[in-house]
Parts: sequence; C-alpha cells; structure tokens
Amino acid sequence: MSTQDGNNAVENTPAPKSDKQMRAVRFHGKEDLRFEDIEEPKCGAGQIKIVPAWCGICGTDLHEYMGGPNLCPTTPHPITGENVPLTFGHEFAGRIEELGEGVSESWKVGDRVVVQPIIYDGDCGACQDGLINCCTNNGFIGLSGWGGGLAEHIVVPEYAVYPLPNNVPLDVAALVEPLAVGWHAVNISPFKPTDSVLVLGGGPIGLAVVQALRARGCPQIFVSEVSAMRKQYASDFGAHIVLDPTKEDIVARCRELCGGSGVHVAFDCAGVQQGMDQAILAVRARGTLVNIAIWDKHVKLWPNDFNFRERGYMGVATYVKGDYEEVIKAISDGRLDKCHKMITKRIELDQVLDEGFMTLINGTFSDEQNLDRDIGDTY
Amino acid sequence: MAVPGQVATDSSAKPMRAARFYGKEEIQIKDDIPRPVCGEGQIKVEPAFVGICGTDLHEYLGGPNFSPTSPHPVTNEQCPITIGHEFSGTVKEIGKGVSDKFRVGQKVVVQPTVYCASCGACKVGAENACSSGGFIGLSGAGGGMSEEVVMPEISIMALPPNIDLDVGALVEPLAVAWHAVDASPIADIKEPKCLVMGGGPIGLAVIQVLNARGAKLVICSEVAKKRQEFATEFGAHHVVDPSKEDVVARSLEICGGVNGPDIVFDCAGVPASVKASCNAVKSRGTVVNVAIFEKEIPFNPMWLTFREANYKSVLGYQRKDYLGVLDALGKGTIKPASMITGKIKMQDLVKEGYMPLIHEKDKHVKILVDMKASM
Ligand SMILES: NC(=O)c1ccc[n+]([C@@H]2O[C@H](COP(=O)([O-])OP(=O)(O)OC[C@H]3O[C@@H](n4cnc5c(N)ncnc54)[C@H](O)[C@@H]3O)[C@@H](O)[C@H]2O)c1
Ligand SMILES: [Zn+2]
Ligand SMILES: [Zn+2]
Ligand SMILES: [Zn+2]
Repeated sequence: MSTQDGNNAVENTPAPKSDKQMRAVRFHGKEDLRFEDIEEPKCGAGQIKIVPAWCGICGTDLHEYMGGPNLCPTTPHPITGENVPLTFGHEFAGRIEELGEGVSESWKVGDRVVVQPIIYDGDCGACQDGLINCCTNNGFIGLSGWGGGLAEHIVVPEYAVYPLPNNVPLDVAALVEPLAVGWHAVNISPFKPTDSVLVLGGGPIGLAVVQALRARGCPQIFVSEVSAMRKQYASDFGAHIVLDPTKEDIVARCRELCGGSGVHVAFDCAGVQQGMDQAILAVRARGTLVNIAIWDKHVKLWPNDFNFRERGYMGVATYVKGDYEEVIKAISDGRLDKCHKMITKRIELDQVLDEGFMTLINGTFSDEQNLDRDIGDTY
Repeated sequence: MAVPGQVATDSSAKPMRAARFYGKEEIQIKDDIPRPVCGEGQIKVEPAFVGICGTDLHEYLGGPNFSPTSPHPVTNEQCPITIGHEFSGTVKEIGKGVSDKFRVGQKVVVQPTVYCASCGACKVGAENACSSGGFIGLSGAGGGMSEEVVMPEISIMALPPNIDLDVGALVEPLAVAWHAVDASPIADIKEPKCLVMGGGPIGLAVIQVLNARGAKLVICSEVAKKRQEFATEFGAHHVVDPSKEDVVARSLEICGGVNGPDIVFDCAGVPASVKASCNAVKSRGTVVNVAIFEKEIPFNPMWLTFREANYKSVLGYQRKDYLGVLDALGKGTIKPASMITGKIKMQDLVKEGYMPLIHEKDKHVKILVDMKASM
C-alpha cells in the first residue's frame, strides 16, 4: 500500500500508454457523452489493472452532464495532468487483471476489488493530517482523470484498491462509494447511538445516511422528503418516520417527536434553503446540522438561530481512509443488509447514455442509484 | 430553588435610584423604583461598577430588540427596565438558607443570566441556552445601574481579594470569551493557533483568554487603527488589517504556510468576517461565532464542506465560565485592567457613556459607571 506520509508523486504517476484500444464512456462537455474507442492503459509500477464489473451512475455525473464541466477539469488537473474529455465512473468494483511491479504480494490476478476513487497529493496540509478528502489538489478517478469505471479496463494506484470478502458481490460493492459518504458523515458527526436524527432528502446519499444510522442502532430516524417514491424508499431503508415538508411543519413535528426539544443531529442531504432553515430550528440546543449537500449558490443564513441555542453546523466531504473498510465490513456482516435494494436497474456499457443517464434525468424509472453492467459476471 | 430573574419588591420601603431603558433613544434616571426583597436563598448586592456593553447601545439606538415589550416569561417585566448586566458589587444582605461562604461587605460579581431552571436546556446545565432565558439589566428583575440587586446564591460569586471592584465589572465580557474558548476544541489541540476576527471588547477579551488558556499563536484581524493597537497590547502576536491585506492568505502564512488556524473566533459579525473565518480555518478546524447579527447574511455551505470544518455559535456563559475567569484573575493569568477606558457617573450615562461609545468607538474598550459616585 502507499505511504500515507510524504507525497504521492511516485504513486500518482499516470499509467503508461499502450497501442491497444478499448471501449469507454467519455464526457466531452455539457450534454456531450460519447461511447467511443480510446487507448487502453498499461499497468505501470505500483499500479493495479482492473476489469470493472459494475459501476454506479451518480448525481455528480448527471450534474456534469447537464450543466458541466464543473468538477471535471477543463485545464490540466494538478495531479492527473488530464482534462476533458474524461472517462466517467467513480462508483465501481471489478476484478484484478494485472499487477504492476512492486505491488504487495497479497494481491492476485482475479481478486474481486472495489476502488476508492479519491486522488490526492499526499503532502498538502490536509493530507499531512490524514484528510485526503480535503486535499487542496484533490480529484476523483472517473471525474478528474486516470480513466473511470465506465470502461473495459482501468489502471489505478495500489492505494485506491480495497479487497472484497467472499460474501460481498461485485454489484453490491459498486454501492460502497455512496454508502461510504453516508457512513463517513455519521462517523465524524457528533451522533451518539441513542440520539434522534433528522435526515433531509431521501436521495441516494440521504438513504446511505439512513442505513448508516440504522447500522448503529439509531432509535429515531426521521426523513423529510417530498417525492412519493423516495418517501417509500426512506421507510424501506430504515427511517422510522417520514415527514413531508409540503404538508407538515417539520420543526414542530421534530420537536414533538423528541419530547419538545428537537433532534440531536440533522443531516442535510437535500441542499435547499427551505430545508436548511427548517433543519436549523428542528435541532435542539447544542445540536448540530451536518451538511453533506453540494450547493451551487449562497444561502441566506441567520446566525442568531445558532447563537440563541448554541447550535453547530459542520460540513462533511466524501470519505477518508478507514471508511471503505468499515462499509465493506458492515455489508459483509449484515449491518447494511438492505443496501442491495439501492440497485434499481442494470444496463450494459453501450446503454449508459440512453438507458442510464436519460432514465435518471427524466425520472421515468426512478431516481435511485443505478448500475451499469460492464463485461464480466458478478460472482 | 430561587429562580434567577424572579424577585419580589417592597413597596413600603423607601424607593431607590436606577437608570431605566424605556425604548429607542430614551433612558431616564428615576428615583421611584421599588427596592427588591432579599428572599430565601437569595443575596442582595449593592452594585459598585457597571460596564456599558454593545448590546446596551444596540437597544438604545434601535431597540427594544432584546428588551421585552410584553411580560418576559421569567421576570414577568417589560420595558421600562433597569439597565446594567456587567457589574461587580458588595454583599448588602444575605437571605435565609444561603451558605456560609458569603458575608456582608464582601466583593462579588453577579452572573446576570436569567433562566427558567426547568426547560430542556436548563436541565442539562445549559442555562445560557434556556428557551425563556434573558439577562438582568436587559430582561427585567433589576440591573446593575441601581442601588440594589437581588439574585439567588448560585448567581453570585466572590471576587478574589487581590482584584478591585472596577476590574470585577470586566468579568462578564471575559466570561463571554471564556465560554467561547471553552466551547472550542482548544483543549484537544497541541500548540493551538487561533485567529480572532474583530478587536472590539469581545475580541480583546477572547485574545486575553486565549493567552491564558495556552494558545501558541493568536492573530487578530481588525480594521480600526486604535483597536489594532489594543489587540497587540492585550496579547495578539500578529495583527492583520482586512482592509489592506487578505486575511485568509496572511493567516495561512503566519501559521507556517501548511495549514491555516486551528480555531477562528468571529467577534466582528459582518458578512466579510463570516466568509473570511470559514475560508481561513484549517481542514476539520472550528469557527466559533460569538457575534450577534442584525440581519440575514449570505453564506455558502461549501466554505465549510470541502474542508469539513465546523461552525458553532455560542451565547453568554455559564457559571463555570465565571468561575474560570475569576480563577484566572486571581492567579494573574488575565490582567484586563487597561480595558477600562473611562469611568462616569450614572447621571451622565448617555452623554459621557453611550455617546463616546457610539461616536468614538475606536478609542474606547469599556466605560464603567461608578455607582458609589452616582448616589
Ligand atoms: N455570544 C455572546 O454571548 C455575546 C456576548 C456579548 C457580545 N456579543 C457580540 O459579539 C460581537 C463583538 O462584540 P464587541 O462588543 O467586541 O463589538 P464591536 O462592534 O465593538 O467589535 C467588532 C470589531 O470588529 C471590527 N471589524 C469590522 N469588520 C471587520 C472585518 N471584516 N474583519 C475583522 N474585523 C472587523 C470592528 O472594527 C470592531 O472593532 C458583537 O456582535 C456582539 O453583539 C456576543
Ligand atoms: Zn493533499
Ligand atoms: Zn454585555
Ligand atoms: Zn430554561
């Protein structure tokens, strides 16, 4: 595995070029996604070559497609040196096809693995503190270069690869990424196992938070959501009470459900002003609102709502080392036993645009987590 | 138990003198205010020095905001109310059932927090976050600018013998700072590096408490020249002028160039200070907001989210914070006497107290009303 101290200059060397071609789904710019032939990467020293089996399409991918490039670099990324067009896919699992020189003896060709897509430099202030998710130069495999899961092959540094236990199938392993976001948020929040919690939003991330809370035995999980289908998902995945902000007074309901005082912690997985306003007031004195949502605009904040009850606000970003291992273990030992239900559709690589993106964007099927079938079976 | 902010009055006793707030730009010195009765578990204090605070000015200029215009749930009073929540004094009378720690004539300070003692916050000892809380001097039940104040024993604390009564009036703003520093993760950080936004009375109090609590580095960001000098005098190691320099870049550089400050205290309370605080703090660091805002501000959750930083707000103080400050004063780890930039009589409150604080804000930190000289 890579060194956690010192920079990643060696580990972050791009994979060598080859003259072979492969199929990949690449993002060229706003509403321009192409299924095309690109150069197949070779496996360099310290790297592992993987055949992706299943890859999820995420809200960030849709965002880039509809209004980007936002996160995807248009000038060379400081670590990968790449910019659009870039291969998509950061939520994926697959099998090892080749091992580069110098990687640990513990890996074998054919091993079933999942990729933790954070790209980091290893030497900025945040990285020195172990916060690779806050790296000033950070990026993601599948968004910032080094290929992505929506391709026939990918080469990544050894540090990005995590082994899967035998009882975790490859399709479920593609859910580790979104689950890790929710898991990490619960981990670094002040949540204690007896606390009452409000989750804003029943999308994939809201549902990941609900499952992480359920895995820890949270006795009171409330979800605020408007869409009928997502309300149903929220209760299927473990919410005790699902609230509808268009019909109910969220603040009053949370207080009432918590003996008058409000929830201990709220997680904002919605990212809308009205929800944030409600969540602040739904949190009890000294409670915390945890933001996971990505906002593209400023909000209006009334800081005195924090002062008079000494409430706190914190941001969380993706996951750090340790979260992937914990999520994989929790799937394996059954604490995240409902997560496979997040898969609502399976498609082939050549159907990504028509069947994947369009389904999610138009909401004709559902707006849940979807998986794209690549070559290879699941077990 | 006696509830802080509930006090009986005696209409048969000779009335007393007090400064009263009636509403926007209206303060009167009255001689017909009923005296409080020192009941069971309570102590009667004769105020000695009373600080004038930004909140008092706010009420005067644009209030009543904080001061109740309908009966306050605990004090049952509404404007006009007696002014003064930052004060020291001497014990004048001791109620039945009060412990033998107190004696008449003793120098004390009063924690002015009004709380119901029965809500969720009060039950967990967070009296400052009480859902019907307030302060004597702002919410009724008397105030420092009067001849007598009655509070329960729990709200009264002895001033160390080596500390003068005028310095005692500074315990309240220092307790705000102590509470803010206590709410920050300072105790868990090795060699904490801190940034304080604003060098007003609260910012200066935070600077002093940070030094008393072992901060390795204290940076202050302040626009006013005179206040920059105060910041240095009270222990800021570096002063940054946000009108001339980029606070975020400068504080990163001062902290060594790798990570920004571990903790940022916002004691300025303007949109620019909120943004700079959130952008200056290191990853997983904490912004402690002490400021009270007058309106909504633009805020971007992404300022905190990409660096997993925390933002928390604090309000007032708890008894532990008063005790912390009193202990530090006794030991000499905080020496705040030069925060006192003027002493006046109560009859000159507006002319010599409020006006200089409003119009020559930079020159002053604290103006105290000398109560003995006012009677
Ligand atoms: N939370 C509490 O319990 C509590 C208690 C008392 C006071 N307060 C609040 O604390 C705040 C500070 O109180 P104060 O009496 O020191 O107020 P103040 O107005 O005297 O001090 C604020 C200082 O900030 C400076 N400033 C303005 N813009 C700035 C910027 N962009 N960057 C850095 N500095 C800037 C000003 O020049 C001023 O010196 C106020 O909002 C007050 O209401 C809170
Ligand atoms: Zn880094
Ligand atoms: Zn004050
Ligand atoms: Zn209370």
